Amino acid sequence: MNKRLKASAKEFLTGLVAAYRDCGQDLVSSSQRVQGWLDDLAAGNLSEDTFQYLLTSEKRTVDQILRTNTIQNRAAVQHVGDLLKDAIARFVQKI
Amino acid sequence: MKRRLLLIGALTIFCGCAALNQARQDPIATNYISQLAGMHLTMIDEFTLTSTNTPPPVSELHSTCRDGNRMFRQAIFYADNISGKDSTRSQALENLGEQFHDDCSFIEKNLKKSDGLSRADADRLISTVTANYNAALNGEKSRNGPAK
Repeated sequence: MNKRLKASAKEFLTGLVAAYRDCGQDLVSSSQRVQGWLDDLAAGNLSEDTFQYLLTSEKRTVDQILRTNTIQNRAAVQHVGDLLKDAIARFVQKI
Repeated sequence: MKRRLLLIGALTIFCGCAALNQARQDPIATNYISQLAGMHLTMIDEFTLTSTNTPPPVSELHSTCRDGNRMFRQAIFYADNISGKDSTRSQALENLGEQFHDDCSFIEKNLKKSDGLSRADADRLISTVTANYNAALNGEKSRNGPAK
């Protein structure tokens, strides 16, 4: 196999894996923030209005992570992001 | 073997197209994002009520928000007109600008209700706003190739 082609494909796949890993870490941090706020809300240390506002802000941050964090694999990450957002929407409905 | 060659070919074309379509990291855009982050986070701190800080009046918030909105407009104008324009760069700045705009209203509401943000609420807001700016900066840094 052409060595240059092989290197190019390997670089692409490495980039793809790195993109998912980076994006995943940012999304885990995001979910931890929301979980912390949920705990504060349950403990009475956070008002419902502020919680709602923080949640809206966090959704915007997640949008930023999904839409701009990974340029090279934007479409793939966007697809995963849409799936995640659907899952989050279902979760929020259950609260 | 044919399949593998086809796959590699498709990947190469995809990578090539992606590389051609990518804007390069832009130092001015990077600088804009950093400056906006500093301004935005300073505003949240300034209007937080603590034992050592009494927030300024609403009129000063309005002035800070006007200046901040002007900075965002400049940054978005730059991103829209830069050579090698990438729509994700403009989207990133618009996203941050919307957050700033909403934060102005949120802070104003808190100023009127309780003389400012509580330290705990300010810290919560700062955590998500900082993550948003970091994501935008990572987006800028991840653009193909070195800075111009």
